[in-house]
Amino acid sequence: MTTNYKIRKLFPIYLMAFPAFIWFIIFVYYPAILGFIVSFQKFHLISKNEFIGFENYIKVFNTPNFWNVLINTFVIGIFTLALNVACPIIVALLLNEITRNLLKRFVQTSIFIAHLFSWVAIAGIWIYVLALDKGFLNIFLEHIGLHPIPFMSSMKFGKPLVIFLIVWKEVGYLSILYLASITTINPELYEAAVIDGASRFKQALSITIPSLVPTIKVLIILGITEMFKLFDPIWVLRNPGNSQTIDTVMIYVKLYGIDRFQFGYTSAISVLIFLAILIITIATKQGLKYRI
Amino acid sequence: MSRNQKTSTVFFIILCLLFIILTFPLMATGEKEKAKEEEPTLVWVHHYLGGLNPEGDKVWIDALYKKTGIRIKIIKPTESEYQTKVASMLATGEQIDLLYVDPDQFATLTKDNPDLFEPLDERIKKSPILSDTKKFPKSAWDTIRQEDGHIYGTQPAVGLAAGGTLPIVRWDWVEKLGFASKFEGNKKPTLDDYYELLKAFAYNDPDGNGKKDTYGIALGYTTYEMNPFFGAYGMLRDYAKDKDGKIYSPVTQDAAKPIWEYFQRLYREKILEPNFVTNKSATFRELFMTGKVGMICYWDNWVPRLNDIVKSKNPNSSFRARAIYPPVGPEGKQLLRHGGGSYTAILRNSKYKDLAFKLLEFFSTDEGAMLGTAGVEGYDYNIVNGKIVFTEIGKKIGQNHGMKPAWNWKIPWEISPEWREAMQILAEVPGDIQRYYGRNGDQWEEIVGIDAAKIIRGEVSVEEGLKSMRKRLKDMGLVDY
Repeated sequence: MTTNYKIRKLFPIYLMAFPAFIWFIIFVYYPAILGFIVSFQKFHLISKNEFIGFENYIKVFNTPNFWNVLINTFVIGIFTLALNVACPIIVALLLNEITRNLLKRFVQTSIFIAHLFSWVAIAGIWIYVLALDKGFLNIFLEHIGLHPIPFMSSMKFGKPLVIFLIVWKEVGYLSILYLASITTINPELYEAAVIDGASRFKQALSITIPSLVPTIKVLIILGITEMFKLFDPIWVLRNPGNSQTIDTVMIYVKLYGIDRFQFGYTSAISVLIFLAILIITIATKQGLKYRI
Repeated sequence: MSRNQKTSTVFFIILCLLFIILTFPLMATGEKEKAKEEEPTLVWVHHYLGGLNPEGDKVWIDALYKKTGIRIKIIKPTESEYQTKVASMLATGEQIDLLYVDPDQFATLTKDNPDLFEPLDERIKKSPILSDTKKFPKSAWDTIRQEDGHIYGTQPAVGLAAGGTLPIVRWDWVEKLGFASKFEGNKKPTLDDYYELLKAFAYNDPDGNGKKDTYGIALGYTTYEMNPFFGAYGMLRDYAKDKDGKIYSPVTQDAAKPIWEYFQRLYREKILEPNFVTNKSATFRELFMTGKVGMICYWDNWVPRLNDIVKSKNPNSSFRARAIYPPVGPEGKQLLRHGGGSYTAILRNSKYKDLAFKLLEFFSTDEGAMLGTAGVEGYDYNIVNGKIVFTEIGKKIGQNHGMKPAWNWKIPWEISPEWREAMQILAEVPGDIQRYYGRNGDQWEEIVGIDAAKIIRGEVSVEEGLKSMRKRLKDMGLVDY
């Protein structure tokens, strides 16, 4: 094929992709480049910005609280990612075993509903469920002779609570993605397994889960980028009692960057986060041998 | 061109046409906006200016326009999103002419942007209204004079613009439990008097339902509501400057130990409502109004509102909120957190600085005071037989449309005896004159709150907790010791 022929053939396709390309340039790449430039400046709201070199980056690494929030981000992110892979698979496998259609749809809908609620609503519900004096869980604990536990405001329970609520909210939605993948598995594989005398559990281990690997890889890659963007659940659940253990990088950017009008400092953090996500994503892709 | 290529090209042309048609209204708006520019519209960013909703805002803006000939657009972010909204507007160069700031926001904004706001000293001197020293003495202007010596607002911390927070109790419970004689007219109740009252609220069944389901006092997740109790030891939260010019936080020093122990005891004895770490203001107001706690510490102008809200839902309720004098400490000290210090400033890059100042001047007149408090005649209130009678809308907004008079303005309507009493208490009990505004108060709250929760819940000793507070504040460069 000559070049001219290729251009003539592909030109309409590129033309159709052009508006989306422009959109990305204007709303994604251009702001990113501006942010990168601002990260080397002392940002003034109405007068001209000053170039200050790497001062903002040095400030990031010297801020005592920054390392704490980075650790929080990694711990919450990794545990959430791991549980958001394992739990939905287990739920999807269990859902797949339900033969009655109506029951299957009812269970699917029930566990999916949590995904539809906003984090504000979820926090409101769980603050009451876990309230120290009138919360359902603490009333039960008192009933069985234990002391009530300040789940919502304790440093000890901060991370586990956040991880639990994120997984609880997303398990329904993610299990449906896995369930959709399970339905595409060739049923002849299961028939062959039955003939070979494999139990349901063995079939799940040897056929279902390996078939889900491409979906798992996609969700891990997406989950890694989401890890650093954790904001909504932390914002609604944080309070003075647990903020030290659950504040993530995005919360830190909002409170100590944007709300303090420190845009240069905020941009420096954003650049560092971008680099971290890039490195981890590339490493994960290599490790998972993930190809589009 | 092949058939496929023709189809693709036609499809692309349709897409472009759709794009143009959908964005055409936006292009058309540009023409209308050009016509409007002949009459400038000032952008005013404020927490709670105007009405309760967009309809109320429009009525208020139209009333302001009739009185001043100046059109404004109000941008009203919620309190929790105020900083973020202001940050994004300023960073993107959106038009802001007038910006409502509290002392912390002013300090934060001007830290790296000292030229952000327009100094108003010269304009105030030339203004026949604001230069009236009988109405605005020098001492009033000193309440909002910044460290650079300039004044950036026209609302000193005086009069209704100030207000303050103080203890508010269920007076019907106080009477029922036999404490009325102890607190009625008592200007110097002790901490022990308070303890006995709070304990009675928690244990003596004030609601008469036979259950132990009430608490003495509710706090919010900030330490703001503890101020009257800190005041018993002559200190209030946030920062102060010592005689050597060093910045410190009084309530994190060892001298504050007795008050922290006091609250530890209240928590341990189940007198303090235990969910204080997650309580927002709306939460503890709700606890108070629904008969779950006997005392909160809140703003003076909320005393009549609490009564109005409960009575509007249940006219037969015995509920009666009333402010009482704060506790006096062992050395006879007594302080309250007075409000004020917040005002509307003019941005230096505003194209309409003269008009903006004219607006601020207007709100320093009696006519402006009426609009900024009572609201709009015929909407928020009516004149009946020469008296101001508030409508349901006017009652809901609580006579606060965002621009309270900052001088000793005589309120022309009947105010409730409870509010009058609360204002009298604030007038008699001194405020915090040592507070230093040059550091960020929100950061103070974030940092101190971590250890405050642990101290009150008894998870750490008071000494350890206070030491940790001081270390955190010092590590962040907010205090010198």
